[in-house]
Formats: sequence, structure tokens, C-alpha cells
Amino acid sequence: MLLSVRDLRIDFQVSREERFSAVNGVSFDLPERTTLALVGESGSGKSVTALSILGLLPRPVAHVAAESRILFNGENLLGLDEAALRARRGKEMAIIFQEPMSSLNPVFSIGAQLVEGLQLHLGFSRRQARTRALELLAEVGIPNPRGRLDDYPHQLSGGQQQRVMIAMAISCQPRLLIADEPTTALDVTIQRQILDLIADLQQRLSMAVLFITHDLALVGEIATEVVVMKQGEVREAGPLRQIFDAPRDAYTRALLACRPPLGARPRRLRVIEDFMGASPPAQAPMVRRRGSSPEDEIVLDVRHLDKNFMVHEGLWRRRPFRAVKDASLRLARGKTVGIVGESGSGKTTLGLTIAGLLQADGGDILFSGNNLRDPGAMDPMALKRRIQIVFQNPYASLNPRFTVGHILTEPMLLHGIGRNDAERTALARELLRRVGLPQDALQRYPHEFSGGQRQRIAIARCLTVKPEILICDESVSALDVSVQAQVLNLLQDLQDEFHMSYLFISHDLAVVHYMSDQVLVMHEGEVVESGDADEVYAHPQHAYTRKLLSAIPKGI
Amino acid sequence: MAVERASPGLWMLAWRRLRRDRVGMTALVVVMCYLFVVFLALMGWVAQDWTREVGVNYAPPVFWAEDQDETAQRPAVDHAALTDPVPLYGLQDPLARELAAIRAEHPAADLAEAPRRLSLPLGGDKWGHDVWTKVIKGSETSILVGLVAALLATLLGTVMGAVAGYFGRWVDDGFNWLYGVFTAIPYLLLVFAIAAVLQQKGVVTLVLILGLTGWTGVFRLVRAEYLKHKTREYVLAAGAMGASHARRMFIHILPNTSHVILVQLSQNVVGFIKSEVILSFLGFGVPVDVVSWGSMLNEAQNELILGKWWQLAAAGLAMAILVTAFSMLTDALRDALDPKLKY
Repeated sequence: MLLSVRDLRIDFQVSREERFSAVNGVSFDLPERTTLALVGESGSGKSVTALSILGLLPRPVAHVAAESRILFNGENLLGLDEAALRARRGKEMAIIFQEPMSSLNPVFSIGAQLVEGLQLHLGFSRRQARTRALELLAEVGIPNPRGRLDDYPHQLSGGQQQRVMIAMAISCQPRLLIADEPTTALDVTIQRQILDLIADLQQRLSMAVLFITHDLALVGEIATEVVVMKQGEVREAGPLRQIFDAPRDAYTRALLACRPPLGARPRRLRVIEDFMGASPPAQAPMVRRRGSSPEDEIVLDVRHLDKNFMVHEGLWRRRPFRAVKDASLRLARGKTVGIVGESGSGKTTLGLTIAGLLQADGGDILFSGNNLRDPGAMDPMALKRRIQIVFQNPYASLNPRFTVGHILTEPMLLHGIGRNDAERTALARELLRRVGLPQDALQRYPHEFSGGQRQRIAIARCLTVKPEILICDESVSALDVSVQAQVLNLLQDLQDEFHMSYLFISHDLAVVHYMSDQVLVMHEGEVVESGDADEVYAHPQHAYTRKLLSAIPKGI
Repeated sequence: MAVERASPGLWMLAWRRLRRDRVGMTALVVVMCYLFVVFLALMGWVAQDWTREVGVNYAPPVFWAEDQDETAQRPAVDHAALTDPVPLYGLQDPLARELAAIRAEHPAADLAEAPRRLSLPLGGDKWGHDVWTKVIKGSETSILVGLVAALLATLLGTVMGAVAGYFGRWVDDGFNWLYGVFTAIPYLLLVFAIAAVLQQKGVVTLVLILGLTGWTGVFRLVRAEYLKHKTREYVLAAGAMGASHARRMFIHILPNTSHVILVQLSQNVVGFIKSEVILSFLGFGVPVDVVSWGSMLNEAQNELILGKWWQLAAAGLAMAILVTAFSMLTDALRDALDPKLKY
């Protein structure tokens, strides 16, 4: 057994009196040459567990219980001092993190950063280290390694940066590689490449890999053993097949069920409560019909929209960067158009331009008989009232200095809804109830709520002005899968109730398919394919769409 | 309806953190004591009579001395002899007659001097003013100048930084140019230039000088905060709701930068108290009929040659304690307000 974790307990000192238990009695085994996945949502303690193996916990605030053991090769890592740990870190065990850009030092070339580790741990000379660095870059699939060795991190794409991080991690041929959400920040096609690379290296270098992720679907692609964690405890552990085919724990079953399935479209997504409650869900979820028909009433008609950004070149020169090129879409009342694409595809820019937060450079936006490109076409306040937007990051989209009551009543005040404060507060209270938040939320501040609750507040804020069109810009991407399902259910319910039209923007292909009647696939500012959601997913016409769809992790 | 209890806002949480900081609380108490003294002096309840010559020239600082006055040791002056029409040296005082008439008319106006004390708790200055009273009156001037100038500078810097950072582009370029000009000129040179333009000495002039030159630091930080915040989603969301530019700038973003502004304000108060002292020391500060710590140090220049150290010690110590306490309070405030601890 290469790594055995026994009864790991880690507390964090939050303040002088308060302690927070992050990991509570976790045990698992990782044999040599195996890949074990630690799966859990945010706050499950999976990353803290990984950091404790490397001895990278913040010393003064983290307390590891005395009876905990982390046996690496039969040696208790928790008993080692800093110098002994340092000798093992990087050499026998290595880690790659989620954000490659912030894990690489921006002021050193990637060559220098690779060479440093080789000289330190293996005692190579500079020349030897550079030769080895070239081999490593070739091994992780960086094209033209000789030309890239002296590049700086910002000159590489996100996927290439992660490849360099992997090259650094495997440079001393460690026996254990810890990958902490290594693909979460990457696009789905790049994620596929990195997963393949890690699996390939694991085989060739006969390493053990501890793969940490929140995404059960990814686990099926890479791991042979799975440990499911929740709130610092192991809920279920076992071989991959068993976890997927016969999950014993209710939480594992819930995690597997709450992702939108690609094949079918249930009326509501299953949520954690369906499984964790006393009785199993009684009725089978009904099927929701999606798709468009010619007699739909079109509320928004975007034609040949262009949006350019000016990029500074040198001191004086400016060059237009075409973020959105010739994009067209038609949105019907009560329907959803999904926009899917990878980062940099222009999908967010398209959404912001339609919302009126950016000025278009060409084309027409026809909305209830007005062309929004004409400056005098429509009163800007009336327009803002009818088109609203929910942003991605629920932690950033609410003003931290405002109470929830203030956040909800401000739009009503601006648009003259409600005769007085009492009436507006009553309306806010009603909306809070509608999005499923407690009434006392009005007096509280955003930081007191979880991510999912904050996103509900952001949705309630949009509902205060009763919009006809709601633009959801990656609105569920930052949420845990179980919370994601709840918010998606809420959005569907609200659509049924208020007959709003949604523009649903996301990089997550499964979520977009679940929510949309029609989809637009965007790539480098262009709409490469559009049509009925089921049709596009079943019979993709464009090569890029096919590439995207084939990169979706399928579970097993 | 159930009674809803408001959650602690950011300021409440910051106050709770500050309360736990023992050094910060001590500094706060010291600063509050100073402010209380300033308030008393401002109302005219203490140190109003700092110009009274209560002691002998350069009365030494003695705490325990008997209440003695120097009149006992002074040879008695015979006023009658002075006004005697019979001349001492065969000369007659030409004004003697008028003097006698005036004295007869105003018997109350006694020429006899008020008794002067031989020693004072913190000593006396060249004219016998009580140094203790002077320090109190001086602290009123110095702290008020520091506070008002810091408020002015912070207000200027905040408004300019907000406008520059929020609107960006050519507006930002314009303000940055102004900032560049102000920071490129050596500080004292700039101060002298503005003093020369304003043409008069006085507390108001001093406040204007410090305020007009001291906004640059606040401007730089507030501008950076606005650059950061204007692209945050909550500001975008406010825009999508139809909030005006002014509303987004001052109702949405400003509270989120207030911790930076408060710390800058606090730092500026310390800086300007020191600047006032330096300027008064150099003779560009308060006029002669006003006492400040700076003017006291200025006087101490000459006194030191005579070995009269007490005015220097008193003003220096008063300033050192306040500046130290204020700096520590600034640090504690920064720690208490650091939103990274919370979010």
C-alpha cells in the first residue's frame, strides 16, 4: 500500500474561541499504480485532505489530531519535520492545482521553473536539467518544446500551462501524483486532453494518482477506486463499478442523479433532499417537452449582430478585436435559447450586448417592435425593466454592503414599483418566499448566505421588475451540482409561472441541453450551428459541435 | 409579524474585531483623550488664557515647588516717588502732571504687576507663558489643522479618484496628468509655491495648503479601487437595473471602498499633523498670535541655546504620543476593516 490515510481529523481555528472541523475521521488506502478519486462538493474537505498529505496546511490555524496517521510507504508523514517533508515533496509526491496561471510564477520562464526543481531534487547540472526539461515538455505534449522553453507563463494557453504544471510535477518521477481539480478551470475539449494525458502518464510512469474533483462524471473516465466525501466525512468508498452501478449511500445516489442527463429531459431534476429524506421519491419524474414550433410568438429577434473591442497595440495604435461576428437568434415567448461555447467564444459578450450593457457595432436587435440599436427607439429604463440578467458569480453579483432587503427594493425604487417602502418590502418578502428563501433574509447581508442562496437572491432581484426576457449568463456554473439542480428547477418553475423567455448561456453542454428549446453553438465569435436542441445534440452538423459533444465526460 | 433582528453589518463586525485588539483599543482611548481636550479648548473652557504671563521668564519646570511668587523678591517700586514733581536730578518729568491726573481718574488701574510664579509644572517660555497651557492650546491648533486638512484632502482625492477610475478613458488620463504634475514637484517646493500664491499666513491658509497638496495618495488608491469594482458583477447588475452613473459610483461602489478611504484619512491626519509642525517650524505655518506644536518647536530653537529644554520636550512629547497612537489606531483599523477576513 503506497498511501494509507487513517482517521484523519483536521480542525481550523476560525477565531480565538471558534474551531471549524474540516476533516472528520477520514480513512482510505491508495495502492501503488492506481488512480483513486476523492469526490465531493465544496466544503467536503477533499482539498484539505490533499494538502495535509503534502504537509502544506497553514501551520498556525490548522490542527491535525494526534491519533491521525498518514502512512506513505509505511512512514507516518504527520510525524516528519518540515525539512524531511520538503525532501519528499516534489520528489516522491507532487501536486498539480486547479489554476495553472496562478500556480506558475509569472516572472520566470517555464524553463527556469522546470530546471529549478530538477537541480534541487536530483542534483542535475544546468545543462542536464535543461535537456531533461525539454524531454519533459515533449512528454506532456507541448509542441516545439525547444521554442517554448524560454516562454513566460502568460504566453501559453490555459491548457498548455496545465501541461507545464504536470511536467513540473512529474519531473522527478514521483510515486504519487495529487491532482486537485486539475481540469475545473479548463474548457471541455482541453479537459479531455488533460485527462488523457494524466491517464497516459500514470500508466507510463507507473505512478499512483490521487484525483480530486467535484464532478462524478469525470471520475468514470480516470479512476479505478472512488471515495465520496461530504462535510469532512467519507460517505462511501469502493471500486468504480460499484459506486456507479450499485451506490449504497443515499448521497452518492443523489450526486449521480442530480446532473441533467443528456439522453432524457425530466420535468424536474432530482435534488439531494429527494434521496436524503426518510422516504424515497414516490413519483417518477415526468418528461418535459422542449423544442420550437413556427407559430411561436417571437419577442426578441437579433440579426447579424457584431461587437468589436478595441485592443491597444503599442502606444497609439488600436486594432479592433471582433468578439461577436454576425450573430443571429430568435427568442420566442416562454421559450429558452441556449448559447453554448468555450471561453472566448463570445457568448457572454453576446448576452451583455443584448442586455444593453455593451453597445453593438453592427446588426439589429428587434425587441417588441423596436430596434434597440436606434438610440431613441425605447426609453432605456423601460427596456431595462423588460430585459434582465443573472450573472455567473453569486459571490460578486450582490453588493456586499447592502442587506438583502436593500438589494431587492432598490430596483423597485428605481422603476417606481410600489407606492411606498412598506409596499416594496412586502413585494420583496413575497419574492423571497417564491425563490425559496426564509423571510428573515431581508435584514441579512449576502455573505451570510451560501452560493445557491445568493443565486436565488440574484434571481429574485431580477423578478422584482417582472422582466419578459431573462438572460442567464453562466448562472449555475459556479454552484455545486446538487445546488445546481435546485436552481435549475427554480428557473424552470419560474418560466412556467411567469412565461419568461430565457437566454441561457453556459459552457456546460448537459445543462444547456436540459434547459433549452433551441441552441446556438458559438466558436471564436461566430455562431457555427443553431437549431432545435435535441436535433443539434443528436445530429451535430458542424465539426466543432461534434468535437464539443464528444468531449463531454460520459460517466463510465 | 415576527420581530426581525438586523444582522451585524460590516461596520459592526469591524468594531467587534477592533474591540478585541488590545493595542488598537489603547490607541483609540489615547486619541479620544486628545480629541476631548481639543473639544474643551475649542469651547474655550481650558487654555483660553495661554497669553497670560503667569510665570517669570523661562520659569523652570518644577512640580513640587511651594506656591511662591517673585513679587516678594522684587524691590518695591515707589510709585509716589515716580510721580513726585520734585525732580531727582533737577529734571522734571514732563508728563508727571498728566500721569497723576490719569491715576486719580482710574484708581483701579494699578501699575503693580500681577504676581508671577517662579516655577511652573512644565516650565514657562520667554515671556513667562505657561508651557502646559500652551501645549493644550497648541494641540487644538495642530489637531484641528490635521483633521480638517485630512478631510479636505480625502474628499478631493476620493471624488477625483472615483470619477477617474469609474469613467476611465480620457477622464482618467486628465486626472492622471494632474496627479503626475502634483507628484512630480518636490513636496516642500509645492507647499511654498501655494503659500506664496495665497499671500497670507493663517490657519485657513495652512489647511488649504495641506489639503490641496495631500490628495494624491487617496486619489491613487481610490482610483485603483474603482477600476477594480466597476467591472464587478454587482455594479453591472446595478447598471442592468437602470441605476445611474452617480448612483453606481457613490451608492454602490463607495461603501465598498470606504475601508480604504478611512485608513487613508487616518494616515493623512498623522501626516498632516507632522506637516503642520514642519511648516510652522520653518515659519510658513501659523501666524505669531496662534500657538501650535510647530510654533512651539520653532521657539524652542532659540531656547535650546540657553539650555531651556522644556518647551521642546513638552510639544515634542505631546506630538509623539498622539502620532504614535494614531498610527497604531490606523493599523488596527486596517486589520479590523480588511474585508479579506470576512469574504
